Amino acid sequence: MIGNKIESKVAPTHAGGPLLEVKNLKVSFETVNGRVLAVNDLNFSVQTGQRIGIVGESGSGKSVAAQALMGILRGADISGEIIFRGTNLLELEEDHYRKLRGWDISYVFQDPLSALDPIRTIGDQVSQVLRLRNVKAAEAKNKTLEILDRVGIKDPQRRYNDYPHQFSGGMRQRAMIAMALIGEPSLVIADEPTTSLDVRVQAQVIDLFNKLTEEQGTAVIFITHDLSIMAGFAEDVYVMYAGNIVESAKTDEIYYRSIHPYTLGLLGSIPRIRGPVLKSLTAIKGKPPAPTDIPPGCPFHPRCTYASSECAELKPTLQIPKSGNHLSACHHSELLSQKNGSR
Amino acid sequence: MQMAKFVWSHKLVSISIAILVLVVSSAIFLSLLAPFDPYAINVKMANMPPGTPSVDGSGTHWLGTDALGRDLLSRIMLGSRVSLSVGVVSVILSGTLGTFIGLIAGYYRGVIDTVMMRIVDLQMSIPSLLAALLVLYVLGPSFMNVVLVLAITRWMIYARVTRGLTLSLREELFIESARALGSSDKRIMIRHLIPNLAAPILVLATLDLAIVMLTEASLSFLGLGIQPPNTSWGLMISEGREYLRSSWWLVAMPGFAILFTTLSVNIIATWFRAKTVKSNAQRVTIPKVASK
Repeated sequence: MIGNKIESKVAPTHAGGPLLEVKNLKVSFETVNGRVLAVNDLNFSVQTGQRIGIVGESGSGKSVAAQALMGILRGADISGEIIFRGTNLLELEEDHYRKLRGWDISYVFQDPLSALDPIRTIGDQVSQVLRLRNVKAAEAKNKTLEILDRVGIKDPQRRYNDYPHQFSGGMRQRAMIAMALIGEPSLVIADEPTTSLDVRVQAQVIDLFNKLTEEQGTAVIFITHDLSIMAGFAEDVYVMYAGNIVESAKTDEIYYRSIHPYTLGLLGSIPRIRGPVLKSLTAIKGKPPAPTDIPPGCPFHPRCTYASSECAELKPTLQIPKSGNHLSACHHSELLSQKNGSR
Repeated sequence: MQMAKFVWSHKLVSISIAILVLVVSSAIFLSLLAPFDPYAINVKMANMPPGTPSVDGSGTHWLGTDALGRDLLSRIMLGSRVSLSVGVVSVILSGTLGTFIGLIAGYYRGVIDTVMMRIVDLQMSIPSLLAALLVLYVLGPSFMNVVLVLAITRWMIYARVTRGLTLSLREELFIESARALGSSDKRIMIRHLIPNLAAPILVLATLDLAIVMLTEASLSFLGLGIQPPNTSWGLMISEGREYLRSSWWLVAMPGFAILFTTLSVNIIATWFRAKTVKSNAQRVTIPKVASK
């Protein structure tokens, strides 16, 4: 464990309330084709040490939401509230916000090759977080060697001076995790951290990430399009579609008793080990709407097998249906909960 | 052995390096290497052709003598001092200024970018030699003024190149990653952008060095550059022009000096560019494992 901090966390620990609370987050961009609403009314909260998952297809707004939380989104209009330890980050001065990044909230990027500076050594980049906070060079190096060892990089002493291109994909992602965790943040946002890795390495990296965040008591927001990765990882899952959260529940609820047609579609497209062997997996027909051209009513209705005339006109709100027990934004949740609840 | 191998496989580059070493060392160790005093006037020996023995029999004027009987080889060595230092100093000045402006404009975009790039466009549309002549005419010719004028007329290319590279670099994920770790803008520029920009800017500077040396020669030839009794290669050509019919060596020898030096610099710059481009490519491509 990395002990005595040189610089205290900027915001004091907020007694009682959640670590992070996102309220009515809206992110939009001004483009030549008009205003694009990438994230529409996002609400969720993360408790200290809690792990949540955000699932959605490419273009559903999950990465944009994550970058908005980090405050590293450029040229976007962000409204709503991002309350971290009782402080609204959107009202924070850039200088204070910057000091939070990497130190109290950190981010694991999707593609570890392009997220590492090609001309600076791994050790230099991993220790950067500490040196930015005026930790002495020798101390920063020791801690870097320690964390490199903990993320499973063999012979960290020698690897410290290696360049990113000398690392394999899995090792680069381990280095990225080391970078994100070296400051002992209380929240890590992991944006599809395993997408560019093969399945075997994916499992190793996820296990490692699990282990380390558990040890440090770090809260995690895990963003992915892969529901099967999420299953063993997150406690709560939020399913996003076209910038909206369409369903949110405990992980098991989502997997076994989903009441949203989109989630059901995603689950239907995952190969299963148990049960009858399927000749082909069912896919959700069509493609996600372009952010400039989100259909009226329920944004999912053109692709939905349950769609009725009501869906094309009225946008469903996120609510718990009478016979269900978790939030879903669908006019047919009631029906689905009766159907799936008995399964 | 390794050096011999390098020389054999890069003949042209090796010759260029040798020429540059010769020019630089003759500029630095002028008093040791010059066969004659470059300022010693002997009117009896005026405009002697190359290979004439000296009047006291102590040596040979290998490149002949000029209109005042001074040894041409020693004069060319003296001129290399001015030509090289003007070139190097003004390249450093314009390179630093241009890179800084390009970096700021490319990183922050917005109004600064627009204003700076329009200034660049504006200055690009004015012939640089004409602008230099005008400024020197007003300020009066001197070593420092020549350097400044050359720096001011050349910064735009660095600004343009740096801005373009910065525009693409700032969108790279590793810059975003640095921001996500809490790096400030200043730190990103110093620790991430400048090191990544260094290789292309260095190549540009070497190519520009040859151009600046030629411009200095042009300015001196036109009489608004270096002033006698000091000399530069351009000035020597200008002085020798009157005797072109009778004494061709007065113009030809400094001309060759300019030609070979700038050619060498260009060849080295091209080689250097090819080398850095190759290592850039190696940096991003993962070495392929030979498969059967």
